[in-house]
Amino acid sequence: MFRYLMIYLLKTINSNRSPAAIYHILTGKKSSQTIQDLHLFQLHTYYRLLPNLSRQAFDYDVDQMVNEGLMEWLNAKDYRLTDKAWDYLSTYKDTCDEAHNFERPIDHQSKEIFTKRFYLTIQTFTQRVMDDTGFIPLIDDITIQAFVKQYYHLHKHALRDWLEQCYEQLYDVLKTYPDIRRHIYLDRLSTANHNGQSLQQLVDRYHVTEADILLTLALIERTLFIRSQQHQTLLSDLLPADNQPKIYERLMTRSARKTHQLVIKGYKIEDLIQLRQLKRGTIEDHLVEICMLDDHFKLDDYVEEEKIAIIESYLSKRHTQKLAELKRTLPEEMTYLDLRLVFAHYQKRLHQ
Amino acid sequence: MNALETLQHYFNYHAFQTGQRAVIDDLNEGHDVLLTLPTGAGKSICYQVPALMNDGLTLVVTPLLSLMEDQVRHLKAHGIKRVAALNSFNTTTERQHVLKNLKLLKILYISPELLQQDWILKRLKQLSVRFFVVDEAHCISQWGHEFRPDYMKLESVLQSLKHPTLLLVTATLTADVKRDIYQHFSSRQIKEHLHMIDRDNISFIVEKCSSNYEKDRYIVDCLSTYHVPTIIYFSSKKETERVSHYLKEHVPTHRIAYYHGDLENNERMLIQQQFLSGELDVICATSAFGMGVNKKDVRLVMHYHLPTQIESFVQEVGRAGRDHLHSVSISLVTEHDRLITERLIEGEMIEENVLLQLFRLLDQQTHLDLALFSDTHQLNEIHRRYLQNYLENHDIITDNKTINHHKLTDQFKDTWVRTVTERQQFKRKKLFELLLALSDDRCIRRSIYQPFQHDINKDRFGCCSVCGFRLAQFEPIQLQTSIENLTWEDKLNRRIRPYTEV
Repeated sequence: MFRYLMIYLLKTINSNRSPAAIYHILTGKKSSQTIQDLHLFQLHTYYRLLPNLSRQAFDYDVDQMVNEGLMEWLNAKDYRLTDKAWDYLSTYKDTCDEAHNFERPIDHQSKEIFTKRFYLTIQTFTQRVMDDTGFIPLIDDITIQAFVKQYYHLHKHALRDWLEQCYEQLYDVLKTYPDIRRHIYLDRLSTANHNGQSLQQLVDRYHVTEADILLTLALIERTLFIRSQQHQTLLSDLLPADNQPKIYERLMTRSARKTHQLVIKGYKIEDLIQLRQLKRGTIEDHLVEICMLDDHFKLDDYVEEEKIAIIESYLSKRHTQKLAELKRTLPEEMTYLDLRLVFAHYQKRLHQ
Repeated sequence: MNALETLQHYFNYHAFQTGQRAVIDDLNEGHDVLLTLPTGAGKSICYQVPALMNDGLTLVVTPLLSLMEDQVRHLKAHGIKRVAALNSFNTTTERQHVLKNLKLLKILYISPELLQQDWILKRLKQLSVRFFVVDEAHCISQWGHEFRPDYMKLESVLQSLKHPTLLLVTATLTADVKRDIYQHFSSRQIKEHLHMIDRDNISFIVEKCSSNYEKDRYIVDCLSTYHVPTIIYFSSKKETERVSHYLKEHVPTHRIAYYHGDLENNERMLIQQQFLSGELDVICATSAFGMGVNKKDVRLVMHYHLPTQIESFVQEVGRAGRDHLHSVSISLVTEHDRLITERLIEGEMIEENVLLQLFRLLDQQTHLDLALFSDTHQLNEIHRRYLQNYLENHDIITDNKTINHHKLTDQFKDTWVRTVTERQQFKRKKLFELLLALSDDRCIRRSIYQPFQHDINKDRFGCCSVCGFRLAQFEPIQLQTSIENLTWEDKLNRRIRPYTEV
């Protein structure tokens, strides 16, 4: 399952980036480069799909793919998918594609809060219904604990009703998954008579990789989250209230958000460097990030119009994604910042 | 509430265990106490009960972060919510939360490092601290097996807190350590509550093996005969994984997992909880496992590798048989184990040539960047703090970095080098002592408990392999478990609707 996703993503970035770029997207790294890649390759739906994936586990899967002849290294950074990989994609398209082909991005922060609340609620309710009071909470986060405590008091006289309904909901979701996937999910749950299995235990038991386990959990969690959002169900109560900043702001790094406030007021780059007391390079990174995420960003405040025209005309002729190539080919007075901003802006409009 | 009522109300025990009541009475009367109790005999009750009975805050200094978290979770699970832990693992939010609610707390667990931070100490000084508990008190002593430089400053912290009642707790008190403790707290009148720490329900076996393969085979045979809660200790993380996989293959009836410090916190918790609740039978672990693991029915503790001294051995073995039923310790030893353990010791210690490099730097510079020095010489955090404390205590550096060259005498240097070499030798001696205790010419029980007490209790179920005990005499109640094999529907039902199972 993870194998399929990897090949699909590697195909999408089409050798323009090293596989590490995929790792950063899956774990939701907040860097300008990663945010840029999301837009460039239209991978928003995969952003932070597997926040807990370790680099080690990711690299293990990459190595496995090389060993199995699905991809090969051209040098230390560049790779190429083999014919075998293309075959793999078409062979498993029917069984795997549906599971990964997300319609739209979700708010991953809400999803994570929802999921933690769900796990702790199940643990608490099953323990309590069995009259077991002294258990160690699975989630240490005190804000989650506080929520579940309140929620428990609402339902403490009808725990069985809640669990019966929860059972039905899980049944409906799990029945759509392959057997091994639902076993993995159920083994990971911590409830009254059962402490969740560790990742390593699941790896050993089901003979899959750690990334595979995490993906399985993430997909089922995601389905539960989306169902609770789209329909009023039992679990909708566990969704966090919607008082969060706008999506594009949330994707920005905190520091970039501060710069953004000044950009809205129309400050130029020299002012920004002064006001924010940051290095030029950092401010430039922020600008590129803002350019990509804010639809109201005024490009001509930062790049002269003639330059924009030259760069855009080149981009429309040559479908390149490599800045170095632009820099080499275009007139020398174009700075990297000019190129990056126009490029980001161009990509953004292309996908709108 | 009196002491007994407090115990019954909060902890659900009917009566105190041996020794607890006397300590609690002394503490309530304001006497400082030095306490030794065997592992698992309920040391923490001795301060938790007075803490809950009296006004004011009880500070518990403990060096083991995982133990701290476990204790807090454990108390909270008993409905005691006014407890918290401060340590370097806290997030900023957590720490602020604790500091904001400091006045409401009854018990605060704190690491010795944080206790030295001025801003924390300032907050604590504003409170009325009723009891000051030093857990693992042997860490004060250079001759303790887990010497912590930060413990050397506890006396001055104690002074600044307007003299709360002091409780020093350890399970492993040798004569050397005791002398150091008394010297450190020389201004206090300390009452001793020293109990026998040997465990009369544990039988000891030493098994000589010629190779790791032989050890693996021995464990397979042993587990095939005995399906009981088992801990197997290793000194290498890799080996816990390897042997755990090997055993899964060769003893498929048992539920087996491994545990070491490199696992994610959450994953470690799951394994620990599974073992506690009987969902795992055998655990292959490094010494990271066991602190605060209060499982009553561990029947078998094996040592695949030996620790570096008797103190650790006694603690690890002490995790067996807390329900007072017959339990067995098996140590598997090969000739070259000694080399592995010696290498461990070298890793723990500052080497002489590092000190010489440091002296050269101190002579040449006006300011010392200890962090940089530690990085260049690949010293760990404990080494760095050791160096810093030593330099500060001898006024070699002030304001964190300025070097006082006039204090930097040859005599100072010689003494320090000598201290370090002596400590190296001491560590080797400790290792030798353990190896000797487990060699087969003298009663093993007597040899391992001898450093802590003059006499030992009479064994209840068989003494040791030297005194004629054989594994065949071990007849524990066997577990009747099997690996869960359900359809997904049944599994879902069992997880979410546990009440339908009864």
